Amino acid sequence: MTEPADTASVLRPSLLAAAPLAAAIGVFGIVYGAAGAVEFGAPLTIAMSLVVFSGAVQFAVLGLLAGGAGAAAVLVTVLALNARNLVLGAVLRSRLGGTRWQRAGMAWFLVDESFGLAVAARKHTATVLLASGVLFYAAWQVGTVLGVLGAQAVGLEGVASAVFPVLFIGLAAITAGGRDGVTRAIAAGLLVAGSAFLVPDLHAFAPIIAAVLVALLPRRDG
Amino acid sequence: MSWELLAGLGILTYGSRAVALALLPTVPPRLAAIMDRMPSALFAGLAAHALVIPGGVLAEPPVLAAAAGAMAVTPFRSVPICLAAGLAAYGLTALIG
Repeated sequence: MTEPADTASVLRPSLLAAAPLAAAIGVFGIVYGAAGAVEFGAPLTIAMSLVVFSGAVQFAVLGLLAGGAGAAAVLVTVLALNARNLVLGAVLRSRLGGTRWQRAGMAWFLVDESFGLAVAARKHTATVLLASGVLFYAAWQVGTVLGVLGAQAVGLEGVASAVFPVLFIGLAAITAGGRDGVTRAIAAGLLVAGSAFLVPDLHAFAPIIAAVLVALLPRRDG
Repeated sequence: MSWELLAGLGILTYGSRAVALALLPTVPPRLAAIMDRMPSALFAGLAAHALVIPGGVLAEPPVLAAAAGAMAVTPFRSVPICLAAGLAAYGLTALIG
């Protein structure tokens, strides 16, 4: 929000970088919309995309409710899934100026993908976050509506399960910076994989715990 | 799902996004430096979280192949390239399997 006046020159490359991700998010939205319409009906499915705007949360809720889970179990799972947003917000806080209300507005568009692009851009953080976030929001809504209207999602469900880890790997790659970042990313990945074997009860929080642990280690190249 | 539950989900999700971004004071430089090391580790952890299920069960082979394909092209530092390579590996493995 306190960024220089050349916002327009930042906007175009930001949108170009975000476009392929928006396409993937739109496909995800179709899968969610088609499945949600069967489980929740069209109004709730569309409303959920409008007010929640989180593929991870919405797919998890869909799976839980389809499996007969109660509201309490759903809320606890969503709390665990959303815990990472605290980390994303805390990381971005030092890069964003503006008033509290302006940052609260930007928070609406804080998703993994917009965060990754904003951090990777290293400059014009607010512009990149907003531009990509608005594009992703639009793609998610369009995809959801298309899915609800009956767009063919046959065969896409399997692909959707692969897109999550692939997206995260791509986001890890663009935010890693240098060798130090790559090493920390690998260490965190191994820690989380190990936690699935050793402490499965903590698995939901393992990515955050691992990220904090490896971030606390001092730089080796300093 | 009820409208009340949906409202709760919306509040929880937006709240988790806004609380740190809007309410945290500016963090000291030393803490900011530590936080700057977190994004790639967090995303790598989330990827691992999607690939290894609690109890040590691995994801389906095409999903693992997709992850391997994406990892192979990480030196390009491009999400679209990771997506393309991952989906190509997924498709190939699904075809073979």
